Amino acid sequence: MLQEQDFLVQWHLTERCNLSCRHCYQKPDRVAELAPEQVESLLTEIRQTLDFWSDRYQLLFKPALNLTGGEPLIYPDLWRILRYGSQLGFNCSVMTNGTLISNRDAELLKKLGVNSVQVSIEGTQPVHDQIRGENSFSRALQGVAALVAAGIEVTFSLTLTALNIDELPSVINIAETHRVARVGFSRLVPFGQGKELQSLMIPTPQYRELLAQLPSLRRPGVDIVSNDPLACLFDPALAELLPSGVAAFGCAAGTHGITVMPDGAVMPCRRMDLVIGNLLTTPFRRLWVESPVLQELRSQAAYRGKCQSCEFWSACRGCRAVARALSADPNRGHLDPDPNCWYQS
Amino acid sequence: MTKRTVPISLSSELETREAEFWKAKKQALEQAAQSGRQDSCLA
Repeated sequence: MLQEQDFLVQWHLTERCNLSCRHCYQKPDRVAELAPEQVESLLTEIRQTLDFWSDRYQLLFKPALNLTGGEPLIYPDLWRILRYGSQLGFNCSVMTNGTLISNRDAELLKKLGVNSVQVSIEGTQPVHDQIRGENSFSRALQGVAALVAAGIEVTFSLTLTALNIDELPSVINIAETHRVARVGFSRLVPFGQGKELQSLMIPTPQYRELLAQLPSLRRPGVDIVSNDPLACLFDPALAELLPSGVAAFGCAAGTHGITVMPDGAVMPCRRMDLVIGNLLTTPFRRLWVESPVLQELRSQAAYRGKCQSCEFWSACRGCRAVARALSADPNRGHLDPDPNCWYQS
Repeated sequence: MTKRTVPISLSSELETREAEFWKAKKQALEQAAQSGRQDSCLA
């Protein structure tokens, strides 16, 4: 019997952006961009490999393609890649700052099969503009209005720091007003430009409290979600349910997803400052199985500290990007315990 | 750009490693699905 398995390809088409956000993990260096036919060829290879694995291992892959940047609307062939990705059977979505989306763009996205778009909203107008730049809030909401009018499901996304954690209830109100389906958030990963904000990371007790409150924050029509692996710690049954030592649920890095950079470089996660190869020179199948970093991310024995014996490991593994960013070890910091994890087994 | 033959073949050692990973993952997902559970914190 076929077992369903998500597989997420997050593709950063460009590093170019029309904003310069304070927490951004990008570096100022310009990175070369692949031509659209190169992107298409590599997407084909990934899709064919997933099909091959499906046949061989009886897994029904549900491939998702998340196109982002930089700002993906700046990449001139975004539309072509979306069309091609949809034709290959990827469930396509876009992550954007929202400020460049016109009514026509929104209608085109819908026509190309994009059903969901994530727009970064950091708080109310003063806080959002303080983080993302003057007038960026009003322009983002214009884009959101266009997307909603086109019938596209919108998710607001915040990068939480001390600057905006108190803004979450207000952002939920804004979502409700603008018929936004979902509000999600992630922790700051202090690298790139965002390293300067490290002192504004949310303390563990406060973050734990926020994750615990998630169900109570939901409103009719607005779901509140967290993609943070630590959220699974509120579900003790998971530790019993999953076999130990198998990376089954939780973070996709190394287990059911990859990040591709504008030049074809591959990272386990964009927020993890660690390139493991390039799809132009190494076939996807080989990279997936051969990369020492990916092998480590799949092996509980390779982890360090309390993760190595944690009964939640199969469902969690913590945020490897935060662990790496705050580690003193530039080579193996991705295997350190998540510094925001409160659990002691 | 020249299209590669896909998927490329792997050495027997890498084939084994690949098979062990996906088979273990499939088994874990099946076990979870039997209890009505699916991944709720996909990154």
